Amino acid sequence: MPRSVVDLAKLNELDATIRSFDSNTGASMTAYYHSARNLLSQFDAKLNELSITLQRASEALRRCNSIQDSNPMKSCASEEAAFNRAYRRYKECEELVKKARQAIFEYSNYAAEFRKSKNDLCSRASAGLKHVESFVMDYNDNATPSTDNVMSNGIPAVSPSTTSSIPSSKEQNNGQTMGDSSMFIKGGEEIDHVLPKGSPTNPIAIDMESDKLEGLPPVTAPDNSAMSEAAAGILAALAAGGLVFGMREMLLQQKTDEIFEKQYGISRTELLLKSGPKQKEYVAAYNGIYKGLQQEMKEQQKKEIFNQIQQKKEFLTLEERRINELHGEETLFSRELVHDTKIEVKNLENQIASIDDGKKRIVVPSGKTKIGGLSGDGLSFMKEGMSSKERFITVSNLLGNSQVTLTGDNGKEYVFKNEDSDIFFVAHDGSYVKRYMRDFSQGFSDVETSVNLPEINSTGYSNKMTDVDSTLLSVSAEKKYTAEGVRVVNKTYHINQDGSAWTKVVNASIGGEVRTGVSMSYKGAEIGAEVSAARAGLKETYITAPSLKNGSYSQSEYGSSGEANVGLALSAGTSKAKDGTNEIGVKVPFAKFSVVYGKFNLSEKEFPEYIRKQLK
Amino acid sequence: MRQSINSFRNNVRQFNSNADAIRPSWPDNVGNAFYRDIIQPLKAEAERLEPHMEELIVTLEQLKPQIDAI
Repeated sequence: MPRSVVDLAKLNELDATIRSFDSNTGASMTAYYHSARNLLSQFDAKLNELSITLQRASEALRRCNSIQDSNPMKSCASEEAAFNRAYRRYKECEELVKKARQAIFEYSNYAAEFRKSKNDLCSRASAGLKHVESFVMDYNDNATPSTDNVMSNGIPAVSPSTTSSIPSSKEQNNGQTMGDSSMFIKGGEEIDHVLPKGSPTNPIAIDMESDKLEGLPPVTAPDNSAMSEAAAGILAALAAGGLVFGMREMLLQQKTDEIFEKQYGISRTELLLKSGPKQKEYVAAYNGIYKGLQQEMKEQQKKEIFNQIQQKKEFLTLEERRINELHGEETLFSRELVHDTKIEVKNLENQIASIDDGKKRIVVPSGKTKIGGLSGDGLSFMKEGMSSKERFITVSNLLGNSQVTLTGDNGKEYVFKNEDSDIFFVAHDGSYVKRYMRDFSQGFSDVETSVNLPEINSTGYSNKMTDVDSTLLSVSAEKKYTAEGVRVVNKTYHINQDGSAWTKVVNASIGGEVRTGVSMSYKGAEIGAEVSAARAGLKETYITAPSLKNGSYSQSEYGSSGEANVGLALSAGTSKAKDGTNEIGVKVPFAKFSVVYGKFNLSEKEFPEYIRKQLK
Repeated sequence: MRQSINSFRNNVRQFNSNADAIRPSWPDNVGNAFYRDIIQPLKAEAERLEPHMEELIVTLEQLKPQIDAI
């Protein structure tokens, strides 16, 4: 019973179906995702709008409060109401936008999973179809085609398929006599079987004039560059032509013929017309070229696949970053470190009694001077440092290789080692230097450069600090208090000529008592002191956000009544300048700022610009 | 977004339909393997993604008027 040939037209059809699925679903998913992102952009725009409204309301309230300082009869009720309203609207919107982000993020995960599976399956399909093509072709070669379907080259033409079983490879190899699908010359001894006399593929009768092989160059290894070029040409042609039946083998033979003829000066057909040991030798050479070319193609395909995988990996990396940004998990300055910082405190009237490092605390005697550290909870200083005659200031986690050194006038240095404490305070007469630190475990080292700041007042102090590493972000502990009666009375700024460092002195009225704070910046990172205008029982605080304008720092402040954040959340972010120094520092008042601006899903490049824009 | 998800669904449907139409013309052993290893997983993956696409649309559609109203 003759076997019927399989319908190879369906092979191309199936291939087209899969390709179409691959590209169409990919395109519709991209369109879908862009739509979602556009919607999110609209939400962001709304949130931004509300943040501006909130900012304005905040400024109006602050102006009113300033007037109130000199005119206690002045009412700020309407400003407060406007601020509270703006705040509520902002928070409400922020919450909804957050939900949208979360939803998109979750979808992104599923989409990425799908894309991965789809790409994998479609690749496998493509490879599988190529394999099936070869398989079916062999099968068809062994099938008995109808007379109508035999093409002029002897290969069975495509005909409607049957569901007859495919023969095993063993069956195929047996009795194969015509149109060997690989076009590969079987070993020399089989030459007569490969091209029988008068076959449709080789109608020329075999000539036994073996002497024509004399004078040919000796058999040598094929030319690698020619092989490589030929393999690339075949792959390119296949890629351009898609999956076409028989094309691979046709091209393979064509290129083998070319290489062989160029190398030995005899065509394949001519060679096959010869006989004898010499002919067998050249046949083997021909087969070597054929196999080598096949191998070269495989290698090139592997490389191509490897490149594709690399590209996909790179794409995935980008995708991951995008998702992270979207999700807000990878915040802008997520691995910010403070390095090489030293604070020297002077004029402390030698009143620092001792540091009990073993107990991780500073013991401050009674008197005017206060010195203390504040642990991450933001409480220690406030509770104990300010109220007790014998002040015990706890600094947590005094471990690791990093340190901060305080030096009194007597020259004595107090070394603080801290792995992860967030805030550090040195206080003096109600004014206090405050230093926010994070992740000291990365190490502090010796002083390298310093900025000397002016003495603030007769009993004041000056700060000395060293270089700050290129990336810096310190985030304070956030502790909320209820407070009242805090007003900024005046501010003074000292900006170095080169703009690299600045200080500000802020006097704040806290419950009628004026307090002074100092803060300073060096190479963009604010490191010094600042008024902490609130403590337990007080209700208002100010948070500052300097921005860089015309080479110097400008200052904006935000304050609010009601709930306030103490510990004055400070975040200083810097970017690397071309000369390797820190280019710009943006102090981000973490807690309050987060109320005002809400989000930080901006690139490192966008962020400073965003802050500047917002502060205009 | 609706248009995109519809397009996605149509693509999946078209794929299913084409694949089903082609299948009978293949020898069983080839067809079965191909369907088991390629076609069916592709269909399953697409069907698994669809509800998530729908879910995101619904979420965003619900959020939009709320945000607009603030």
